[in-house]
Amino acid sequence: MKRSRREPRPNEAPDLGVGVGLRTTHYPDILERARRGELQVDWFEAISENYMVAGGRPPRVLEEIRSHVPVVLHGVSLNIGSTDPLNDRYLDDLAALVRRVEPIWISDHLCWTGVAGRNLHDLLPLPYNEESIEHVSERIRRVQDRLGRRIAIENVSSYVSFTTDVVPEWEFLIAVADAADCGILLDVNNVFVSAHNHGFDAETYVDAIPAERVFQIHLAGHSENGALLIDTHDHPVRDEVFSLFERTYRRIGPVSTLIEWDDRIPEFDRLEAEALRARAIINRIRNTEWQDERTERRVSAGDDAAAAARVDQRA
Amino acid sequence: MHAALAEAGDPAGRTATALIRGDDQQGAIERLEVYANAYFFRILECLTEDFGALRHCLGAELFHDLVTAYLLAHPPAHPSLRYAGAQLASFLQDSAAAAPFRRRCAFSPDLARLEWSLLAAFDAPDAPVVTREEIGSVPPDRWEGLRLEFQPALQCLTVAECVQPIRRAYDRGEPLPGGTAGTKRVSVCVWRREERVFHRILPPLEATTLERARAGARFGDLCVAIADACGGDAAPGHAAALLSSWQADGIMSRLILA
Repeated sequence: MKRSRREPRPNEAPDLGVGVGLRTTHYPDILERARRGELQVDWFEAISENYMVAGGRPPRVLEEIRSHVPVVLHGVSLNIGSTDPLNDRYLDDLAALVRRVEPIWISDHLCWTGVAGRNLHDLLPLPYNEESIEHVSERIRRVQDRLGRRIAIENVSSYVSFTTDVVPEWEFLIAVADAADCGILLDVNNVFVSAHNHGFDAETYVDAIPAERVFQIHLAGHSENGALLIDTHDHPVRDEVFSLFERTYRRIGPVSTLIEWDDRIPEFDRLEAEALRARAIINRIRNTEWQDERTERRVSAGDDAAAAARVDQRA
Repeated sequence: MHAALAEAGDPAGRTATALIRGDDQQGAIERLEVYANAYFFRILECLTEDFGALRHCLGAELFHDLVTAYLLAHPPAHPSLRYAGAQLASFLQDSAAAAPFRRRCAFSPDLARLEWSLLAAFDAPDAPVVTREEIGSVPPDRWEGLRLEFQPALQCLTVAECVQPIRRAYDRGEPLPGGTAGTKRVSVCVWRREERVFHRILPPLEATTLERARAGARFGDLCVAIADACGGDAAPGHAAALLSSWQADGIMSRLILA
């Protein structure tokens, strides 16, 4: 299948290539390879909360890494879906971190992480209905106003759904993104996991996501727990998830793609190998199905933007 | 847990099964249990990492029970998991619910306090380190009024004598020495140099001198106090040795000339 034209992509989210989540255990390997110019991944995603600290090693390492390759910030505690007021202190800390790191973009999750002042340190799903759409989109708009830029929200893996749901998850995600005018971080593994857990069709989900809103794609491994799949980030990406990614990438077009691995973290070589698997899929699509467009330099628009982002970060 | 979740509900009185959809694959309560288990084990894993020596002293099973009791008293409120253990030491020290853990390990509040201070030092604000050259360049007539400023990461604790050797052995991967319920207490300082966190027991004279210096005492006054404690002849040598040791450790951030 050769496509001659794809939907436009968000300007603030250039195609950075294939990246991996930045984890403490890999700091020495990453710094050594970055200094030698031998990194095989194109960019890193740093967990925002890990760098909202006064000093020490993590901010120092992040500062050096961002002098070599692009960095984006990915939060886990924005708590955008909660009925608690937005946490002003948290937003101040995030804004300060953004000023310091100058990430290419910022993302967090379409979920709630706590209520009544408590933090469950988990990504809990919302009821997929009109009330939630209004509630969450209004809060995202306020966060974006506060940060002075659009953010991306990520679909989460879930193990429960609510009796008050009235739309499927993908329609909820799209409606929130449209109402808030924000980006989407499409986690393909989360789609796969939730599709299994709730009995919907994963391909229908990814096919529905508007390309012009997708800032980034996540890929990760998951585990089985009885009848449910659990988003554990402690395994390689499953072949079925790579297949779903291929379908997604082919439709959406050049988009930054990232491997997450958060538990039972392997050597950095293993993580890079996983990133190279994703890159091989991307290259196959680019070199075959998009060949005509490459000639017309449509695909490379993302490459140019990514290169510009790298230059900006080094400036 | 299954029964507790089945009885749980929202403020409007709707039960979990009325709110959560179950299906042939898995019932509503079993699905909720995924989150309930993940909540506990995620924090257990975090506290296991932050309080490694304490867990070793209590044993895995009792540490599990400690985390259970602690979370009931202090569920996390901070957006970062890094602060989940912020009140574990005070919980161990003061809570009636922590009595079984104190009985097993009398020094457990002190060990928790030391381990928490290591974490605080790890990401405390950065500051410059005073060099030997800076010390050498202080004019002779300015020493008396000299004041010292210390690294933000520096902390001084008073803990049971056994605590610091236990954590030191844990850091080195060595067998942990047995703790005692002895009453002797010592000063321990914790600090960070560049990216590494250090801790050591302070001899009594160094502990009191450091306390005075951190409170802003002039170097001349520190020397007088040292002379009172150990005799006038030995005082200059003691003072110079302390200053040299603090410089080598990297705990001073600035010399303030009067």
